[in-house]
Amino acid sequence: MKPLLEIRNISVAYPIADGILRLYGEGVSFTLEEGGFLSVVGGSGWGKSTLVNIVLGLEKPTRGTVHLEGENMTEQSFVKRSARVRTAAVFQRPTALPQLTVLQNLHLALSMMGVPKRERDERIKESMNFFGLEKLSQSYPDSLSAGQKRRIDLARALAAKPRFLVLDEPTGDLDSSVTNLVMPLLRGLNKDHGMTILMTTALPRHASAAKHQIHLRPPIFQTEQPIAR
Amino acid sequence: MERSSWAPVVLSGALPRELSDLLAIAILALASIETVFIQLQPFNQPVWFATLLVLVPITCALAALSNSSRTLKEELALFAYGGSGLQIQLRYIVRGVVVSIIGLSPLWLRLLATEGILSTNMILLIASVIVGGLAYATPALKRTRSLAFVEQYKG
Repeated sequence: MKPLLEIRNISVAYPIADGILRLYGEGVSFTLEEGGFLSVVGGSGWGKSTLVNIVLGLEKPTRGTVHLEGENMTEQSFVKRSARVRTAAVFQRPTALPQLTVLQNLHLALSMMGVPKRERDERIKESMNFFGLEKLSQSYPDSLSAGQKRRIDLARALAAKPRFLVLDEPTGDLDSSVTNLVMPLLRGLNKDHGMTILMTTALPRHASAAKHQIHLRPPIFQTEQPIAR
Repeated sequence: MERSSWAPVVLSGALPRELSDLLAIAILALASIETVFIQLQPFNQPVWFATLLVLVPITCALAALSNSSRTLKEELALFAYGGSGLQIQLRYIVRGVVVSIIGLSPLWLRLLATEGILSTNMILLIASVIVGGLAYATPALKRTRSLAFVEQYKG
């Protein structure tokens, strides 16, 4: 059986003043089987978020390929990748439409995915209850704290019931009580529902929630002529 | 399996809601009213059409540019929710068309009253509205295709 995600020899070179910043050294490679749970561990600025963007199709690597179910999707957008393998993403920076309430945001996200109205209501209610967002349903995202916004993102991603869940430092901005909920939840989604999960974290204790871990190497700075990306 | 839908992303952003949209509507409305009241005789077609072709796209593009901070958050969220670049462009084209239609309403009314639906001037007015929609989407097209845009997802 082909792995759900296969990253082959990915590397990224950022042109910066006086040289090049190379992420992932000579390249990072890994596979994620259907139903797998992988943590990508690395320090700040080591390319965890860049790797998430590359996996989702929001950024292109300088070298290497991204395969989904055996098909090379390196040049494909997030939408095309998600059409093949339904994917939900939680980014490091909270994402919500500022002019819509929390509830409206969740409804919009699920309606964009084509979830029927009745099912949408049920999923959103369940997800909001889990993350304690019931009282915030009519609030606007800009009036909420960073931790509350993060909970909205997590609620949205889980309500989408994706096959593949990608999370970029999902416990950032969360207090310990919510963090203690999120990790067992992710383990449960993976174990009980077979959801494939890729998560980045800087904290080894959170990475241990996953079945497998990979550790990124620190970036390399090379003093060369800048290259065009 | 659930199939992604275009309608929510396009329709949820169809109505002008920002202050800059309202200003654009006001500018176009003032220009339209001026045209209606000054040109009591049948329109000097090349002149008013050329004026519209300059005024409408510039006004719409400036309105779209002025929304930058909120609009950026909106675009980041829509991509995160699974929206495509094309859907987001269409969302802005529709909003730009709505801004143009409302702003040029005095002209619509005058042409409907004096020339009916199928006239050359009416077709030119429709063309101006479409150009307005395309112009409204142009800043977003440039913004969302840049590397700086996806960098915004990072903390």
